[in-house]
Amino acid sequence: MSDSASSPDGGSSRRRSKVQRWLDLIATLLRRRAPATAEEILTNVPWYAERWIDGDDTSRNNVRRRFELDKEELRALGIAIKTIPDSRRVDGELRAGYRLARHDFYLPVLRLVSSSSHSSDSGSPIPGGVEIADQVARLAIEALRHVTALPGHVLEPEARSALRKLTFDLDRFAFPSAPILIAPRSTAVARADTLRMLLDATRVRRRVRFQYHGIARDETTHREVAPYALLFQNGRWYLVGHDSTRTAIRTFRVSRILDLDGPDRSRAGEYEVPDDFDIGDYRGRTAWELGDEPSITARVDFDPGPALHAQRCAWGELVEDRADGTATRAFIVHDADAFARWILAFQGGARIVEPSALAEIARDLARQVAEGHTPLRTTHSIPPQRRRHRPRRRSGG
Amino acid sequence: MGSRATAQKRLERILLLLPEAAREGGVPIDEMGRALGVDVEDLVDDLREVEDREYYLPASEGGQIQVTISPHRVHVWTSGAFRRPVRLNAGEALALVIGLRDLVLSNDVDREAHGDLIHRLAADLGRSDVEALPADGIGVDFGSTVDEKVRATLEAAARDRQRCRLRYLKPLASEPEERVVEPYALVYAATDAAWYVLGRSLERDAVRTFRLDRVLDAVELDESFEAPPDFDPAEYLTEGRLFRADEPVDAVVRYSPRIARWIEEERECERLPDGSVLVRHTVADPDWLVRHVLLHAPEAEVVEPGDLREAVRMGVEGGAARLAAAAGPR
Repeated sequence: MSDSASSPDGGSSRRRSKVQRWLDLIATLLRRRAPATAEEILTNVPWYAERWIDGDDTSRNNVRRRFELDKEELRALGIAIKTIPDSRRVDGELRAGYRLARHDFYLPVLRLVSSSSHSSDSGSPIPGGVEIADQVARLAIEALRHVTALPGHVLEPEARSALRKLTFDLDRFAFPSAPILIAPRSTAVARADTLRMLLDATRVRRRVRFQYHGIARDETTHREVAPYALLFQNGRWYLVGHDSTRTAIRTFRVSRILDLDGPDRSRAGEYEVPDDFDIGDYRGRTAWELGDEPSITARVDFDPGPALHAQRCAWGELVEDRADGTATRAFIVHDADAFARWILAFQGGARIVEPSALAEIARDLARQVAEGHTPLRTTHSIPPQRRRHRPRRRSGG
Repeated sequence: MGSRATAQKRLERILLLLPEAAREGGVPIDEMGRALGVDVEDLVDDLREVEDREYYLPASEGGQIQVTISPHRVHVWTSGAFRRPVRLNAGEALALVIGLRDLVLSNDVDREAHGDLIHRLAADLGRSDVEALPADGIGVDFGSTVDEKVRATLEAAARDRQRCRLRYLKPLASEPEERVVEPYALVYAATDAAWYVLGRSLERDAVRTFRLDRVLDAVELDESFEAPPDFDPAEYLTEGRLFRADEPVDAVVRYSPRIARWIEEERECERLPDGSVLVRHTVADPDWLVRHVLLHAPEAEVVEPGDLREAVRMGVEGGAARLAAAAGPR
């Protein structure tokens, strides 16, 4: 259906865009206090009126369909156009009316009050607005800045616009932010499309299919996953969901998801997230805690400096603290190789004492590294510069 | 992007832009472009859509919104319509709820009490469906290894420009040292998955970085400071990593074919005929490189310089852990 039409006075034709039609529809509804019938809308909103008033049956049916589509699209954007059945009497007949109340459309006026003078933490209704304690306002602003600060955060655009709205009435300069910079990985922005698709699938509970390259097994496998949540951790985004090919909840690094199937709006509600699923249980997990292997409990002895660092970072559980500053800590390990590498990075300041099989993995790893770092016979063993591979920028799906 | 998605985005921008531009004096157009994440040209196109309504709306309605675009500002006059922002949409409410939840979790505040606050706040701002928002669908964790009290102290000190005394445990050290710093900024380097405080060390009289998970304690002092007006923490980043060195060290590391593809994702590499890749690193702290190689063991190998190659070998043979770290903080 074309958006172009002649002006009502028969003058030169002018295109009216969809956005202009939407603005006109919203403005028409906002002007009214009582619900408007479909006919009132179709004769008052210019784009509809041009085709409705003098239109034949086909034209009128098309216009009515267009109005229905516009209504649904605006509702999907969060614009609360309500259908109120039997709200208008026309020629003795009760008809449905459509209403967009100002208080449903506009953000309420936010009035800042000091926390000490306010009886409750959050807003109290005031005529035409909401009182909000300054501590609550600060928390909300900080929360949104927390999201906008992470480039590539899947909700960064929404957080930015929410922050703008929230600070419309509040002086944003009254809430100075601390100088914080979050430096993403170079691939962060490149994964933004994939993240949005996964977020969309998570919201509507739609299974996703993709190829996944697991670094532990160094193989690419096909996966079908019911997404439960997205998690940003250790500087990377992860998808947590039920993997039907493994019949278990698994964690996938988003940067290793390949060939993600495209969005399919016809599919939704394909599964339920278990009531006992809590994304909080996945926070703070280290690389070795995210593996596929059955868990083992490892005990590690730390020298004084590393023991202090481990205590500071709450790594594992303290088993024994000794007077000489050394300590033993216990860890739950799902990925033996990742754990062994982590221990190796202490450069002798930490040693696995049990289980012996895990200690042997670490010793074997150390042997391989030592053998691979014997002095080179020639001082310049680097081949001439060859093809340079710049970091891959993967697009979604 | 399909036309529907374009129209949606355009309408959302217009509904954000109109109330801001309707304030007295209007709003700088480039500021709005940055806030909305679009070019100024796109915003001008958005405003033309609004302006063009004047030509076809009846006189009683068409004059209700008038747009004036000057080179640097946009001003809107409206008789009432679109003078205020619209209510939070589902995505915006979700961002607020998730941001609040993550803040609450990271600050170790009473989760239950503030969970109630979160819902009431979102509801007051126009989302009575806040319970239905899939807030559990997204989590952000900047690292539970950071003592939140330490981070909060440094964050406040950076904002308020107050000096801090730190107890700092250098890598390979067995005991912490005290440092007085002027914290200029906090930086989260995703490449390292680590928080740092970047500021002037009074002991060194120079800008230094301190990794927060090595700061055992931080106390704000009653001494203010002035940060350099042109200080930009982004200047201290290299490939998403915080980098500050008076004498940087150049090194070449070879990564095996097994992990080459993942290294190529994140760093500039040279591919070798056997499928391995070479990466040329410039590091401020040689110990960082040793740990980096060990965290990729046995798939990473220092090719040069020879002394770093030796440091890796000594590291796995237990020698490096017994050496006192001579270098200061990064």
